[in-house]
Amino acid sequence: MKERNWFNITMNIILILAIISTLAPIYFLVITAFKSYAEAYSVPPTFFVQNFSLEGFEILQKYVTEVERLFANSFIIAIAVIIPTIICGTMAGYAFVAYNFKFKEVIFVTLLTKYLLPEIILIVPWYWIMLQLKLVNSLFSVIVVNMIGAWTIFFMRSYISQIPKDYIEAARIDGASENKILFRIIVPMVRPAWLVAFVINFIWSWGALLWPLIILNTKSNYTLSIAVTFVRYIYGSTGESPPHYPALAATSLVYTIPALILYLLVQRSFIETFIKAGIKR
Amino acid sequence: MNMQKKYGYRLHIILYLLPPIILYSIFYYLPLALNIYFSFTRWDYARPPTWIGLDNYVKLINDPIFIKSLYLTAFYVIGVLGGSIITGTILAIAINRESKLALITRVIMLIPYMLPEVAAATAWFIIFAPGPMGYANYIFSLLGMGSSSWFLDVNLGVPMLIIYSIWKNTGFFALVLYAGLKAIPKDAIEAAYIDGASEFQTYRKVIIPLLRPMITFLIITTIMSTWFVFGSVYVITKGGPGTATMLTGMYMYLISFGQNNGGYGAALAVVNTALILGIVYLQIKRFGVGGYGT
Amino acid sequence: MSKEEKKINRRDYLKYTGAAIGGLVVGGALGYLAKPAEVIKETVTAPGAVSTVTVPTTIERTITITGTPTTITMPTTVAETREYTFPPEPKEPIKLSVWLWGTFAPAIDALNKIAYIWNRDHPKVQIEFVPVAGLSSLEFTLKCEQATQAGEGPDIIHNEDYAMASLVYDGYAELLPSELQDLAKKYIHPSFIDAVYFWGPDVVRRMYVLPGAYGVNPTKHTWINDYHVEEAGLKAGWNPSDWDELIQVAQKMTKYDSAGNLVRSGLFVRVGGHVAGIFDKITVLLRTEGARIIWAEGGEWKTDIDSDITRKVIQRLYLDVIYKYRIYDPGFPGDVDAFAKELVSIVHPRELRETVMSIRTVNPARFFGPEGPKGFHGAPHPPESKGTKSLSYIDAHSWCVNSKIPEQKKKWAFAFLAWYMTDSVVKGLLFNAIGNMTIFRDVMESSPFTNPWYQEMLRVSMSMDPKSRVLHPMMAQIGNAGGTVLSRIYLREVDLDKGLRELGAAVRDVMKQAPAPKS
Repeated sequence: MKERNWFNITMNIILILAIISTLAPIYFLVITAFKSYAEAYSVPPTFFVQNFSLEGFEILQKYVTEVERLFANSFIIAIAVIIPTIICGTMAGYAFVAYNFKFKEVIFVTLLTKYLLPEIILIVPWYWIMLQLKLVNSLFSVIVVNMIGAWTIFFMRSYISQIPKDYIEAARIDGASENKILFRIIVPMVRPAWLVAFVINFIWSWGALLWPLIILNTKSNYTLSIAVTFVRYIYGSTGESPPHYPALAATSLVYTIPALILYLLVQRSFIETFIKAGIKR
Repeated sequence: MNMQKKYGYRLHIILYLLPPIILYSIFYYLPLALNIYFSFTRWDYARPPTWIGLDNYVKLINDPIFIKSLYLTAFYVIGVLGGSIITGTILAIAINRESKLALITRVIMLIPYMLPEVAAATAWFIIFAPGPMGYANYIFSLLGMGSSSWFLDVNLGVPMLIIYSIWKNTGFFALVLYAGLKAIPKDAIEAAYIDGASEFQTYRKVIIPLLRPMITFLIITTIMSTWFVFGSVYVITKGGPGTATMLTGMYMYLISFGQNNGGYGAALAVVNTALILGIVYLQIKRFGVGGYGT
Repeated sequence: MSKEEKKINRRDYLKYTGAAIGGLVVGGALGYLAKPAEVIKETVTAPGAVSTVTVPTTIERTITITGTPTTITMPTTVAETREYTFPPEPKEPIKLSVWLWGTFAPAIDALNKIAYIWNRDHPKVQIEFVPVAGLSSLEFTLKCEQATQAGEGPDIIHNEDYAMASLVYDGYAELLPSELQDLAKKYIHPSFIDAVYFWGPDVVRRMYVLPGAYGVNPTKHTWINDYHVEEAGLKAGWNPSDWDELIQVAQKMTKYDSAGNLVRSGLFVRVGGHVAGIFDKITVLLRTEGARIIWAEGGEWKTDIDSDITRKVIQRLYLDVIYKYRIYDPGFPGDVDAFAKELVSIVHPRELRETVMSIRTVNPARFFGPEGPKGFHGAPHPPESKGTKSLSYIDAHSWCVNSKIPEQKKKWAFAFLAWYMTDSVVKGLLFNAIGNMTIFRDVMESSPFTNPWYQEMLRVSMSMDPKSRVLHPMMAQIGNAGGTVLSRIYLREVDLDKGLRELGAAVRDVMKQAPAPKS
């Protein structure tokens, strides 16, 4: 089907455009991070770094301080959310596939609404709950509201539903307990799905801004996402000055790299598994 | 034997489903109800909430910024979803081939989706910086099209946010639609070729219509998070010059934690939730839920 | 098949190498960023030795540190002794944290030096400054309150006065001990002392705060670039006498390029940025024209924010300036930074401290000479008609002691604030950094404030009958809500009539939430 017709050519142009438009913003982010303030404000702007400078990173260190602490906070939250999410998500997903029970549809739909409605709707009641539980300003309050992700349940359900039922039937006939079926048979088979779930949940948790911004009060508890929003306002004489673009770019870069690396490491299995999970419904 | 098995299962059903159900009851369904309670109070966090009845709703109906946020957000949602569907479909078709280029694109196209919202929005803000030192302004001035404040321009703010979101989402949409393409049974395509259709015609007449359920599915699963978008607005414009980019999510945050008005914020949440649920319900009625495959 | 494998292997290889490089970058960045912050080095030696502090302007000050109590030798000698009763030395070490809203970079550097000196002198009471950027002042206030409730809050809170009003009204500020109040009345010039009185939770006005790192500002001025004035054919030191004159001259000083874009704006008006700031900038113009803005009468709060006075001020000094005369464009650089870069000829109206701070940071060569500031000056903002007296409000960034901390910490926090207010080295360091400490009497009467430029600025300030601009206990919410509506009007999202009604509704909505004061 490799005809040299206009359709093919157009498609190839589209592919190239896609690649360029995806990588261009990252390129600009990287070069801005290594410019000096003066060069970032030079007219016309430079598309290659003329005077390599770490000024942005220095400003970041000087005014944000404890960057490694913020990094750790974001990381801890992500891992603390992912582990229960994957465990409970697998269990719940399996339950939907393996059993039939009276309220199955109802529970499924209620879980679905949980997945669809975003958390911004709940910030006021959540705040009240955290006040009652005295969890304000704790990393735990950020972790607990998202501790079991609904999307993971659906994804695991979708993936598990593709495992031929014979495995389960055979194990049941052999008299295996339900737990054994789940942990000995199903779990080893869903590892690829776990990879996808890990990546997706990590990206979501790493990128979370709204709730940490509201509930965390002291700088040492902040997440890295909050730090990026601050950097825009920290430079200059009055705080309303033009932003220090290199510092802004440097912070964003430090913040982005883990997510980017994670994705690039797993992209092949990620894409394969993602597609496979969707094929059958 | 069957009965015993049934009882045996029930324990496990409960065991496996209980953790999420408990967690969601506390942190999801209870708060939804609390929202309604708080919407009838005035609460500034320093003093206990006081009951004020329907005052917040009266204020809401007469609030020009709220009305404006509805218009802006509707415009935004249509722009983002419509645009992402179009670009996603085109890209999905383009990557649905065997070439090395397509393979590379498949990997790279997901990068915007994988970038944290805050970092990607910051990158766009840097590129489209207002003033002559901005990259975009320079490129556009070379093309003879003058310069702009882009995100901070009163008229361009929301369109720029739309374009940014389309850029961010396209890869993901394309992936989902690509999975959908792969799920289309071969027979339909074969039949078209036998009938002598070209690749383009096949796509247009056969495949794209078969993608409809997938597209519906995508819209339903993303419309709510798009309606309440917050991260990119907060990072770039904080509601824009004046209230030019005051989308729903930003306004809810601004009222709740920028003006310490928890009661009114809860009222905004209630009204917006009801609104968007209504829209989704109507959509499901009209178009169905959609899903993978045919 | 093996070719395929080879291809895949190469791809994997590239992938892993890329990941390794990325990992190295992240690791390197983290390692670099984890470096401990620089320690401020200040050479302090035995009595009689001199330590020189050089500043990035042409002004050089010599500070002599000779043991405790510290003394300062300014060109006109001012000797300070400790005037406040310090609590007894604690047995266990105490840590005090000061949270400051906004970064204001030059001031923060000075504060770190001040902290160093205090920590050196008080090893058992260590103080730490924590600037908080990126949040609005009301968001910052909420964070302070919430962190306090969680037991991890600040001991001293440094805030701008609108948000400070809300903080005090919420009950988080400790009343100043009477000894400190007397000291404050001694040190602060009576023209400006109104700014340290706030409404407590029972809506009674008391002294809850002291002037902070930028001082209570001696009112706002209209800042004028004298070079541009001379270009326009007038004499340096020109003050506009009414709105017509202001607009005419501003028009003369405005420049456009061939495409019709603004290149230099004759007059900057505040239509964006920090929302509460939008509200407060218009209040001085309103007060001059006879408005009362917000007041309590007959047991309830009243406002005239939606009156015809506001209408005419907005129409002529904002809307006409932007849209009719095209003197300013909202997308154009603005505020004191643009003034310092000479992109803007007049700034209207703005605080002394931020203007001077900005100019010293951005463009000292042009605007500072051996005698002090030159080439710009602050005028009283003009009234609509000549002869009407210009009135103004005081703008304050101040700090208070958190009322919810243990008693011993409170005593030491007050001791620190007292030391800060009375110690000459502190004032010297802050002046070196930001060029402004002008509401303290001793500073006002010593060099460099004895020079004619500063004396004129102070005279103008005092002539404008300065009052605290905190007109209501919930001023922050009023400022935020009002500022949002005002920017909508300025940007013409809503027409003036509708906008004024919106403004009135927004202000009234907040106003009625606090009871009126009893007296």
